[in-house]
Amino acid sequence: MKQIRRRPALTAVILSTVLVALALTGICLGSVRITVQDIIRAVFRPDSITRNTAYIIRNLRIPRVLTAMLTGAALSLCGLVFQSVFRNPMADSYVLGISSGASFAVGLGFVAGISFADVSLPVVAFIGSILTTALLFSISRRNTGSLLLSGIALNFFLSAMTTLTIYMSNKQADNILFWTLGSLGNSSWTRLLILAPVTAAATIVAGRNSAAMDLLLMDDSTAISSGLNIKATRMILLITASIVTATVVCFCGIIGFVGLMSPHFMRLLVGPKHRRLIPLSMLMGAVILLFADIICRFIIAPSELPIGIITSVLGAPVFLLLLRRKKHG
Amino acid sequence: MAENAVRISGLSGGYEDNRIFNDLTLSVSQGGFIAVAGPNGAGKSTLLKHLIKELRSPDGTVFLMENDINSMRQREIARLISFQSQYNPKGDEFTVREAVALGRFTYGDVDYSDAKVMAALGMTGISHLADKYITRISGGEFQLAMLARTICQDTQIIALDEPVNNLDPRHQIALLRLLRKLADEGRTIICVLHDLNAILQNCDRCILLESGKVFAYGNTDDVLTEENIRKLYGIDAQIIHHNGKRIILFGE
Repeated sequence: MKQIRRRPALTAVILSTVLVALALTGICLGSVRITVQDIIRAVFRPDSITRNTAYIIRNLRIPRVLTAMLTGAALSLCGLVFQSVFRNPMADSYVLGISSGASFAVGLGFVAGISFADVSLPVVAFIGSILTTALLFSISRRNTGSLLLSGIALNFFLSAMTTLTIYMSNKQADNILFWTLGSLGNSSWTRLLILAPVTAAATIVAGRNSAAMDLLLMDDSTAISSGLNIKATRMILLITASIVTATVVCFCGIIGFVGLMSPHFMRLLVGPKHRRLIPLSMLMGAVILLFADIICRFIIAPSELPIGIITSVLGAPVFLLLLRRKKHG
Repeated sequence: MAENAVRISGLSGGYEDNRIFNDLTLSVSQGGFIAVAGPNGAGKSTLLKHLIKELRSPDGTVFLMENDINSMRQREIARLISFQSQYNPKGDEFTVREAVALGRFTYGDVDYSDAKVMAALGMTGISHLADKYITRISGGEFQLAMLARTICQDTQIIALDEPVNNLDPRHQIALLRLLRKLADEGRTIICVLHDLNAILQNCDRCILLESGKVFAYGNTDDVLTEENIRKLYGIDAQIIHHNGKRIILFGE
């Protein structure tokens, strides 16, 4: 019989070390060469380096690296929540079409004349994601087995509709295209000021519900008889994940598979308990997206690949692996 | 007289598309090992789902320890009744220790209850499995682990839905003995069982259900008679006495 060997503390230390190394790499690498010393100076003594270098570090590179980390963590959290609520390890805001729902709503918003900088954009994205989630939830209540296929079908449909909005809106075509492929190119402190508290609040909600998320993995009868108000918990978690998905899609477009990969890797390493899984999956998500961002910035430098392409290339094999495991029970 | 552990008063309920009960009335006093039996579709599992409020009941129809369950929050209900469903783990690889600790959810100390978890595992005789995956222990060990979860929940009433199904005789006997012991300690065990001989050997009282109605309820010896079995299941049965025990033989 297999013995359990879980090392959450060691995993956390390794991931944190890799994250710091990647963050420094992400800040240092680019068309303008930056050293670690420059970073330290830019943060603590900005007068001791040139204004250009200080500007690049403080206003371009650091916000981008932080956005990558936060976005990766947020998407992983969303993945975990959807996997727990739908009792399916393959559920994820991208796979289920929830990101596409937000993206389509944003596309419609553009067609209706909402501009890129409009404050109502996150609200529009949220409406798109929550409507898609509600539709999926209603499908999964009737037949949980069809959830994944329904999500994939929804994803196709909503992606096609987003493409339609691109055709209908020539002036905004570039912006909408950006949404469908994902990019961290527009990272800024202003956006971080929205993304960070949203992610933090969602982490607190998920953290407070970590034992409830464990129970959701069991059957309804077991969860209910243990004292869990299933309907209310699912609703709270779904609304939380939909808000986070909408915020991420609004600022960074559709970035697929991160919410699938990091929880999957972490479950293998530390088991299914969400008290451990939430922080470690978020850490892993930050590592994955930061790594993907570095790749997409340098693979065809000085141009940049949309980050969604990299995460899809990394994530699709994991999706197939999960599908195979699910098929073999 | 002790208050009722369970009181059902004029319950009409069941599933949205399949109403099972029509004006069901039933009282179960505190303490003892009570079997719920009856043909498939009689409403045995549905009855337990009403008790844990998984299925909605009209106000004033289902009471636990004389409290209307509709006036209680789910967490409060979980402190009166625990439930072992026919749950089968699929992919979620909790360890036995982690799965049992979830029984403490209602008290909010899932992560700080290791002593209680180990005590429950000790009672069920599976302490040595604490750090094994629940997906990789045998069916019998899994049922014992799930029983440890309900013990950990520390409730007056423990309801179980066919806990001995698919278990070998050794594990069946171990589980039923443990339920007997819990009943002797003063808890109220309400258990759906199909094995009428197991009911005769272990249970104090028996509720026989038929199409959502109480066909018979009382002391096991009074309820499990040849006539009742013939009427309820449509099969011939003969009750013989052997070494002071009553045994049911089926068929002519």
